[in-house]
Amino acid sequence: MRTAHTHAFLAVALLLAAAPAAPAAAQDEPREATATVFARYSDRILKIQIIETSSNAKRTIGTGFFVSADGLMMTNYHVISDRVQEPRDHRVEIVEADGSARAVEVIAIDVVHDLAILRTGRPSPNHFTLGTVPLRQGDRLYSLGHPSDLGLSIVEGTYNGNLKHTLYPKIHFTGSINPGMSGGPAITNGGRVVGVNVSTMGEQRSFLVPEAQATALLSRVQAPGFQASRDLLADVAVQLRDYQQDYLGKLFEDEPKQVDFGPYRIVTEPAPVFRCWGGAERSDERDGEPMYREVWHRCGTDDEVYLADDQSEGMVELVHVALSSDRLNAAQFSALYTSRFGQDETPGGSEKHVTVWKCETRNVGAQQATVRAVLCLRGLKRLPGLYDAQLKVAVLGRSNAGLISTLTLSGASWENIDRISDRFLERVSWR
Amino acid sequence: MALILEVLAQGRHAEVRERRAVGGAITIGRALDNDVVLDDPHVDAHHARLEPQADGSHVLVDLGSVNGLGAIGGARSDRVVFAPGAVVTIGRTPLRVRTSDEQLPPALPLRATSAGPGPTWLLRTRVRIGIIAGCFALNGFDTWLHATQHGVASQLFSEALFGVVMLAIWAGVWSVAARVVVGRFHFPLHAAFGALGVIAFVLRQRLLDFIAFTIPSFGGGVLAGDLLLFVLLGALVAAHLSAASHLGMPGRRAVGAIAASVVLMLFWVGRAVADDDFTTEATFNGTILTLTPAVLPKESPEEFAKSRARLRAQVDALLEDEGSP
Repeated sequence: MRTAHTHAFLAVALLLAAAPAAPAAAQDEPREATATVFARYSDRILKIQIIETSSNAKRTIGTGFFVSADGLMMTNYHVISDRVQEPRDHRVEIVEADGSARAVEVIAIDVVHDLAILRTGRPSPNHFTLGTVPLRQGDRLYSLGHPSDLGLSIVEGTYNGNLKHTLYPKIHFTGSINPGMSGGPAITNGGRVVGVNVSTMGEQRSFLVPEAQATALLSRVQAPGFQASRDLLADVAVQLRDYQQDYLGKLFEDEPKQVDFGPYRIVTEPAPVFRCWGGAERSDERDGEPMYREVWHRCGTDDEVYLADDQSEGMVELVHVALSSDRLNAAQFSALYTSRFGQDETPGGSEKHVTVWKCETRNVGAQQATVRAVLCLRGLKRLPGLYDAQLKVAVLGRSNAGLISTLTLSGASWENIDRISDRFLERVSWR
Repeated sequence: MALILEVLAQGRHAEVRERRAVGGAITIGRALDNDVVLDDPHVDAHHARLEPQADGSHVLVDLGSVNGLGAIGGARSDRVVFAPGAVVTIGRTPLRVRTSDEQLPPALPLRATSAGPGPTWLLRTRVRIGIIAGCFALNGFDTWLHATQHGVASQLFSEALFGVVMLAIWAGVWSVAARVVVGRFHFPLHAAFGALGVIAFVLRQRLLDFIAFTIPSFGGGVLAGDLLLFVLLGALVAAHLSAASHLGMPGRRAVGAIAASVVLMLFWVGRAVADDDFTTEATFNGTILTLTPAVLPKESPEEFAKSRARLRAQVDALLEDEGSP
């Protein structure tokens, strides 16, 4: 499943041809050698290290770049997430070219887009100025950073437009971004920032946070009356609540797309950002006839929000499994249905972040069918008001066929979980 | 009063090989012309003579035998006063004299009230076999009803084999314990009790499944299961004790209750320990039976929404316990 998913992702990513057409003016200076780009801009980029205070040694490294003359530095949220999650155990330092380190302060974050701004307290006359950069697909970009703590490096690559099918924008950059380069800039040869290095799928498939998101965060910090955040974790909770409200608030509100699925009608692609996959499996056969058939249909988004190395949220997944058999008798089919329904497919998690699951099972006379419904819920300990939930529904009434539909939401408000549960139950139906 | 000479089996004094009334003097030996012929290579052809005395007692006199009179390894003697009830060994053969008017204990009633070997209907072999066969048939049927893959025959076979071994061990342990405590070895009876227990536990599981499916909101499901377990386990132990102890009915019930409580307690401790562990596994009631929805008790979507709200309250209570911000 994982591999299929990944391959399909690649296929879609490569199909993205609809980047905004723009004049070649982006390449606003004559073509220069990569060495010149490096020489000209490398002093605006520093290594960031997160020191674990009890061992006084670094736990994470990343990259950051100056975005103002008074020493504001842009990086990724995930570079400094340890400081946000456990501020007492971690401090953030920037490392100058001569190797000297100084502690800096995280003053603002954008957890959804994976950005953070540090106040270094050091003047930085040489800095990048953020602003819109017109680009064409295929334009050459240079990504800078500290891969695996090997020293500041420059990587050439190409701009391949924004990803489609995502809840929040990401630029597809074809070039090798490696761990440690996170938070570094991807720039044109003229030194215009196009995006912030954020993640990679390997083999040159890399992703950037668009410059527009970085600009938005910077303007917030530079707005008059801005106060550095005292409780970054509370900011994370607020930002996630707003974010989930954006994409869950309207989920299933309109009549969603439905398809035939054996004797059932099922909901598919609840929103355009969902992508769906399907497959069929047969149990071992005898006389060419399987004991039972299992067909599945799975829709999900590719967007999860990184919170800490052992926690991501923002997952939405919809899975339908249809079971049918001509060979099992009613009791045997119910045993099969019971064991398939009883399989635990809830997401994992760490005790630091989540409570245990609590579940309620009921037989519900829903609008169009009688179902066995289970809602499992757990709380997020550090993000008040947000929960992980899984609603699992089995349609009752047949002795040789059944449908199990599962909806998993992570990092969602109770109001959305409750409302979506109702909408979901209303739509479980026979054909 | 008549005197009787008993020839006992070697090593087993409970078994009498031969019994002979003693009138006058009698000779004992391997040769066929003796009054009592002993087939024992350690006995001389003419080994000893039993002689009545004037005072009414009897004396066994050695006739110059190789091994003499008395126990092996014990002191050899040529003349032994043979008192009623005493055992004297010639060669390796034990001999005993008894009198016809000796005091005997009263006869045992056929079924002692305090330690009867189970209810009367279980005494019939046919009934016991029927119960054991029924137990295997029920288990086999249950397995078949839950089989969703090919190869149910081999599964049935291996389960039956396992069942036979487990039942034999169970009945064996009880039988041996009973033999030690009350001197009885009732293997078939204990096997029948074990089989009845298995039948009861299978039915208990099916009953719990039915409750779990029809009334998923029934919070006492675990408690009901435990209660049934307690009753069945207590009854099973009490039944076995009826054939394995001298206890009366109240005593058997008490021991059964204690044994069942200990087992339940272990279960509870195990559960409490597991409850304390953090886990990301979700446990829910996934039983689905083939039952037409028309007769199934069900909630309306509004009631389900209320159940969900209670669930949220539970999770919020957990968060509060954790002292989260």
